Amino acid sequence: MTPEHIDRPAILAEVTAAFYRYEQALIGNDVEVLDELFWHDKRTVRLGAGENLYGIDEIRAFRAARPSKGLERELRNTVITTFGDNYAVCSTEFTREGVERIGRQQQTWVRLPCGWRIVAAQVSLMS
Amino acid sequence: MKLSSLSINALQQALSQGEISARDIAQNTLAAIEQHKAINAWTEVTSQRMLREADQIDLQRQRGEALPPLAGIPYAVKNLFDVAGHSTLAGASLFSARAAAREDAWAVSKLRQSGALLSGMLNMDAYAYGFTTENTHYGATRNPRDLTRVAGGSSGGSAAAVAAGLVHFSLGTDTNGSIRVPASLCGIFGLKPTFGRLSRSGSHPFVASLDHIGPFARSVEDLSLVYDTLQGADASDAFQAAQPVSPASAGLSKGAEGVRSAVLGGFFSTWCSDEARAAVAVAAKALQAIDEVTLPNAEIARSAAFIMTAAEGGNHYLPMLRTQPEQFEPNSRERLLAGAMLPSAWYVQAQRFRRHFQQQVLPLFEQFDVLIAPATPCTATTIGQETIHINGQHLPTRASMGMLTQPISFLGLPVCTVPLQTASGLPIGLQLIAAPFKEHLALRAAWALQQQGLTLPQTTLMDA
Repeated sequence: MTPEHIDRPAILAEVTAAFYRYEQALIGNDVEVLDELFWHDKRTVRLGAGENLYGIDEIRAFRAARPSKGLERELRNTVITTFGDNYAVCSTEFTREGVERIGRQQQTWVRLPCGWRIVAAQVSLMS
Repeated sequence: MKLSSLSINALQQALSQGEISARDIAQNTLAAIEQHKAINAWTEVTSQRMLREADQIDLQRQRGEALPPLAGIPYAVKNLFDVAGHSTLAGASLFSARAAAREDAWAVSKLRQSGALLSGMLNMDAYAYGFTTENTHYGATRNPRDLTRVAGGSSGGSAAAVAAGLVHFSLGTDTNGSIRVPASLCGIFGLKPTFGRLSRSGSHPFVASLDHIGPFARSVEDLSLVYDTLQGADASDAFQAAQPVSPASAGLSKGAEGVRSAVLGGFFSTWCSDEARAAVAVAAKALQAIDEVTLPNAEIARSAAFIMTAAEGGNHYLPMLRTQPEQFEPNSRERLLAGAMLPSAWYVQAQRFRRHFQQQVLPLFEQFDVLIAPATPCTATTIGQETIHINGQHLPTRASMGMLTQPISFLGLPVCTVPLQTASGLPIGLQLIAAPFKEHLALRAAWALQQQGLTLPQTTLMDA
């Protein structure tokens, strides 16, 4: 991996678009898009603030049970970095109105034949 | 205060009455650009310069000085305009390491003197060669009306930035349709002035015989105001015509009164979708255009424009094609190479036909002031879509989106594009075409359509 392969503008633009598409879907509780953007595989991992989910089936079950209100949030210090044409890491902090603790979200995105997908993610709240 | 819903005049009023500072405007704009990064309209954001320009305006205001005509208005420019201290990219990674421009392009310095705030430089098809802004190195710019679709090109970033409501206006260039196509697909107003009207000094050329610069905006008033600011003689531009400055803003409210309009038939009504035809019919009714006229040999005009483009563009890039072909945009490399090899007889014949075509078309303006035609054959395609289906044929998207604009810029005629809504909800633009140096008539007809509520309502991403 040489420096010119890191953050190639076109790749960065693709991942940025996918990242914000996921964010919009999250705020709007668009479960279809949220599901679309996670890798449909049993190796997909999502370590949430209060749950550890292994495989797309557990992630889907969690989404279905999730409340659909109060999802609005603001992002800050978002860092998106791409490596080569097919791999990216997205990190961001988030805040919700009325919630003091700062949220953190980190995702690993990979370009699969079906498009950019999250293959691993972690969400936590700072104490 | 929702900045994007205010006209330039309203925002200036708020500024001069102290309801908002220029620094607030700059900071809000920069935050909004960051928040809507997914559109991929900017290739560089000039935050420091913008804040510096804003502070200068605030200082003038505090001293009680009269503010210049575009004071505090945020804008951005296609990245082929020189901006002092930055490399001029012309959409090409080929130029990313070249020396920074020493001074602003003529148009940018005019806007600076008028008090406008530069937010940065905008994405485009590499070398301005393309109609979709699918740039292999800098990524595709997304259409703010539907993020899965192209913004049009080659000034795609310029149209998307304005349509999203992130800046009040932008500058683009138009060689074969590069202002009119993205204005159509993004649903905003665009002006391609007469060939030779505005100075091109400090803009990276593509096809010297056909290049124009012009503005994009969300209303005819804003568009005219920026156009008026950009007028003026520039001794360093050998292509500029010797024409007096002729401001269009003051006369807008005369509307279409006394403006004789006709619809362009033939080539222009054959090579478009039913949606485009429906939009033409709406405008024709409103502008009382009963007659239909045709431009004989419009398809030859398009071919001749293609030949001149390929030959001059190819010639321009031939030295670099020889030394570093791997650095070129893959979407354009082969056609630039092919252009550089065109027989000179073809090029000379194209130039000869241009004069002949002008002589045939210009007499039409003895009878009519404004001719109406679609700006694009159809509405915005999805990113990566290779073909469009028009008149029973599958045509390549990147080359065909400009088929209705090419014959008009080949003539050098001024055009204002106005956005209308189609049944699918996506916008499409119409070309309102006037006689040489009669920009004001195209703008007045556009104003009349806007005034009658027929143009696309300008809801922006900022309102969501």
